Amino acid sequence: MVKMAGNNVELKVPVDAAYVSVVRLLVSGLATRMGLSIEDLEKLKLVIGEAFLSVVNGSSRDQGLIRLKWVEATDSITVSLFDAAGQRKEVVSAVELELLKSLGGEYTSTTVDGVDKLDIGFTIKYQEDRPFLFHERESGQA
Amino acid sequence: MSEKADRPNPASDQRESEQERAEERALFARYQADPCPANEELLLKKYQSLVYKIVHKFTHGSDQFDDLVQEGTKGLLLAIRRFDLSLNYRFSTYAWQTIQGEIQRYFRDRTWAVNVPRDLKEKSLKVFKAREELAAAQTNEPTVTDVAKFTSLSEEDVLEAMELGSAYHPQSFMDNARDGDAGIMLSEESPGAEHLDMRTTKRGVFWENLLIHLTDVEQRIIRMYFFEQRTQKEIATILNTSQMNVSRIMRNAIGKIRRLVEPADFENLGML
Repeated sequence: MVKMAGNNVELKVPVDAAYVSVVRLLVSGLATRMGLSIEDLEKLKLVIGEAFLSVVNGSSRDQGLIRLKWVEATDSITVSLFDAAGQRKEVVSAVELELLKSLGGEYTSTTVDGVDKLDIGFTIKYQEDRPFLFHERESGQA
Repeated sequence: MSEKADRPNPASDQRESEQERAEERALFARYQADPCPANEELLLKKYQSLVYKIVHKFTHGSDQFDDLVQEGTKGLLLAIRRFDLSLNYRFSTYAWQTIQGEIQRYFRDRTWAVNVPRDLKEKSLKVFKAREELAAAQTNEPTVTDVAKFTSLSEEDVLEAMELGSAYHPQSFMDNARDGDAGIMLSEESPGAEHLDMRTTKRGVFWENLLIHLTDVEQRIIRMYFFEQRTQKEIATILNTSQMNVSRIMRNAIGKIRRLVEPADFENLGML
């Protein structure tokens, strides 16, 4: 079930790792609409797919739905994963976060009103009007 | 059969091994002094059996055997041309990595782990080729729209074809090779035991200088894969992540290394 709201998109999928392909396809479709390169699109698919799997693995129940929220702005993309069944202070462990960080994106893992939430932020920059994912470490600044 | 022939003779084995080593060094010295086709052919014939040994470990079906031998032989040829006598390795140890590398590339580029309908497979290969051609031809990374125009496919078809790309060996293609080939690895001079020791070899020191430029996670993965000879799947289990994630991190790390070293040095690493 996909709900369009301006530049925001939401998807709810069962707490099931098999749905990672649905998440990946949604992400690739949205990234294509933004005009991101295939390289960036593949990266987004991988990062968000991995984050989704981490949330599924950390979920305390295999029933219910995980909500994915895609918020698109001209200079950023924020993807949030909400797991209402989660019972951890942090959706993903420190090691998992470290691994995810090495792929790119900025991560915040919190619990708000009993709902585990993982936010992944990406900075968008432009070169000759073409958007690209900006990653400080890969840009040679570190 | 005589009693003598039945008994192992360590002293004799050692002499044979030393003799083989001396012959090997002489052959390569001659080839490097005169790298003519005849000398190259001689070395190819001598070490062709190594290709069969490695191919045997990777063979999924008889229809792949000839292709794998061809790819492995390409690896053997590269190893012969790049072998550095001054490092004092056995050639077989060095060639193993190169032959294996060529076979891995074959799997990565041309084979599928799951049964995919032919038209989808062709579509996926078309998209894959288009991406490479566009990336080479234009300064910007291609987008799905670029590939759709180039291939006359719809954007949805391109996305579907790209998603199919993950049907290429979803698990590490190294699994088959590394899980069962300890015997062969140890029958050569074991890389884990001596040659890949990062502190004491020329290559090891070179690697150490490169690894300091990587993040901790990247370093751990590179060390486990290249120096501890673990599969991507094993690493994924250790780090509690997926093989795909390990593969991606490794690719990023190798990309960084590529940017740090001269092309000639990179070739000499002989491992990537």
